[in-house]
Amino acid sequence: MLRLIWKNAWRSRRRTVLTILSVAVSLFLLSTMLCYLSSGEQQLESAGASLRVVTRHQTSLTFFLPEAYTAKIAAVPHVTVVQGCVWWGGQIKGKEMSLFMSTIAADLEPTEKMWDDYRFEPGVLDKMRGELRGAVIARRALERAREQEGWEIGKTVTMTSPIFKHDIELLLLGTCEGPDESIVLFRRDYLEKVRGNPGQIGYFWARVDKAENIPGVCRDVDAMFANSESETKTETEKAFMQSFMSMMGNIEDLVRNIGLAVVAMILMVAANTMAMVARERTTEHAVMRCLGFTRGRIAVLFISESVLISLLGAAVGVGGAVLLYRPGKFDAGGMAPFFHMTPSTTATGLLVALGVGLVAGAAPAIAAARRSVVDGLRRVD
Amino acid sequence: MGLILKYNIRNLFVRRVSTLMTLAGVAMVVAVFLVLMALAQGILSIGETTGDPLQAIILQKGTNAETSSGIPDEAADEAENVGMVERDPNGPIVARDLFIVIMLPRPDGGAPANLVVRGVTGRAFDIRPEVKVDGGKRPRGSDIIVGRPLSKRFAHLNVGDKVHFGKRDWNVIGHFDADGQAWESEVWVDLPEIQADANRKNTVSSLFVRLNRPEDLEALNEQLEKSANTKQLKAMTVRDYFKGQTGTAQMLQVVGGFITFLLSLGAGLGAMNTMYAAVGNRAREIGTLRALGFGRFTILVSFLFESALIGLAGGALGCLIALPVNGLQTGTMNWVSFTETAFSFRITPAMLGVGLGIGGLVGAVGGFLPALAAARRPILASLRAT
Repeated sequence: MLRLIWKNAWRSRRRTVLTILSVAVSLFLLSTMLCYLSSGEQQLESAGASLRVVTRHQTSLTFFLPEAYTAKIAAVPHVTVVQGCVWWGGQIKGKEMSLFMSTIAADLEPTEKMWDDYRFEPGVLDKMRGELRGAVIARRALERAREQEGWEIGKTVTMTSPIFKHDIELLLLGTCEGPDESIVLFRRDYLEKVRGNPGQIGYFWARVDKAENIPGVCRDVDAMFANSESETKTETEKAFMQSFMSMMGNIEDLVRNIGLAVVAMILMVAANTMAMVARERTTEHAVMRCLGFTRGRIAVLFISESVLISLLGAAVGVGGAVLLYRPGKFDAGGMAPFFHMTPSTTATGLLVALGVGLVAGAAPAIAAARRSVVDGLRRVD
Repeated sequence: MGLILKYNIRNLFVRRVSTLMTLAGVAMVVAVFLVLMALAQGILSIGETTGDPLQAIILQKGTNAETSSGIPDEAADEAENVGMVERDPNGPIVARDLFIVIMLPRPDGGAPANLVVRGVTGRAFDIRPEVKVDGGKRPRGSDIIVGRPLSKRFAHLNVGDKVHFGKRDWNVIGHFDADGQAWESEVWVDLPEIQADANRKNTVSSLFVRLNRPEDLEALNEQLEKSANTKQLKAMTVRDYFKGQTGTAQMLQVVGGFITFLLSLGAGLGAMNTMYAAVGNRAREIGTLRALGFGRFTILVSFLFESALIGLAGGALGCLIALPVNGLQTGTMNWVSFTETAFSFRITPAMLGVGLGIGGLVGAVGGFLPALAAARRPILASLRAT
């Protein structure tokens, strides 16, 4: 039986290969889009487990908070460590749009405790203590900047900002690895010096001792600064990230709808192939019925062939995506750190192929099974 | 030739199912292409329509966005009075704006997002005649006006609502339209009020001016350079300023191109299947045509025509599927100011033409090898085929 299905599938080799290729290309595209969707979800998930909260100006992130808030937030019960940060938004001088790097000026001392999900090259934070212009760069970001700009550890690089007026010169001291593979971290006291010591913080990270204390800390911090010159808004890392994603617009919905269109297209191609196959084999099916094959048997044979073809397409398309989008291998220029095929995206791709195979085979199979033997035999091509 | 083309068209109807499915596949490709390009076009058109060639924006040097620009009153006073700026009986037509970013929740309770609050004077309306407020209202005191598209994207921005940002509650007294220009994504507030509220007294972010002639831009910059007060300022055209903020559109075009290419490949392979079957089933007919004296080239062209016709029809269907998104409101992040820009999908006639072209091309490319096979087959072999 399996042999028959296999043999049948390859009777018109050209047609089968073309169908498999068509299904493969489209499934590859679908896998790419699924990767995009799941990378957003994973980013949120990894943020959801974090014990960090963010305190920003109540009006929006573009308003600064006074440096003096550092000690006040640190004094709130259950807060273990506080770090003042400024999003500097660094770009390579002269090639502003070439690489996306999350360049952040941060208080140096709390770094190790705060960024516990990052692995810093041993000794690099100590080196930063002795070097005002020192910076640590994510390993992946360095690799890309090395390719494009010849960046190396030990080199001094000039970066410019879309937000601040002054350029900065950073001495690259070492690398780190962590969820955000586009990060460049440098000392906030250096930025202060460059800007003439205004004592301004963009946002604070605060670490809370236990997850159940997070809501209390958020409330207490905001209550402390209520009715002051600079009111604050404190929220979890996940909520903070969600608000950025929300600003990206309805891209996720758009991607989902395009995904549906892609699935519809695969279905058209596969169903067309199977309809052609069915037409060619009308007489043959009738002969098989005469030989004792039941209606159901013929339908099963036919649908199996259809499923086989789409699964072969999936093997090429989804398999190609799995190979290409390996973890850490592909990250869309640093914009999508989690851009890789997870077991669930792979499974979704395969399920779509299975579904397409079933549906594409079903209509011709039912028609073929229903046709009376006499009709089938009588037909002349 | 006319006869044989008629024969091709009739054949499309004979194998209805196959034709329809191939056509629908191509339609999907073209629809996806158009939707993505309409999105990109919507963003681009903000940069293309905002301001006019005579309008210039003056910012602090070293910044490329109003977000990070600060101009003290003395510098603004001096810059206003340089000669190149258009005047009316009340003096130079200069809008002093303060650009503030605030965060507001979504109407459905979703994660909040950033948007622009612009502190304006009466001059803002003189220089931007495209801004039309319901009932001609102006922001005064705590009364503010809101770009119409924003009212659906953020909570508390309907007329009559009270909205809290900065240090107090503000009253939304009206919505305004601006012919799709960037202002529609903004909340406009009386300048002195927001200066006080945001602790930005005596400074503005930008000056919008109208030049007497386009070539005056250079002269304006030279003039600014001359005085100690205005040395820190630079002017550029409003068009250039907003064009610099449409980076998302380029990204969409690249992504859209990639998706369209892969999908076209998939649909093209499907079309190839269809055409190989068509050629195979009609072997005897092809032989007959050849015996009647139709040349190989005619056969090639006729089958290419048949295939391209399926593609074109698919392209047309794709256009029909995509057309309803034209004008649909949506929003995206402006990567320069980190605020949300509202815009609508925009399908242009040129895009529809490209969509049809893609459909025809997918059909023609997919049909090429099968048509070649049909043309090449010897007459006798064709006639003998069962």
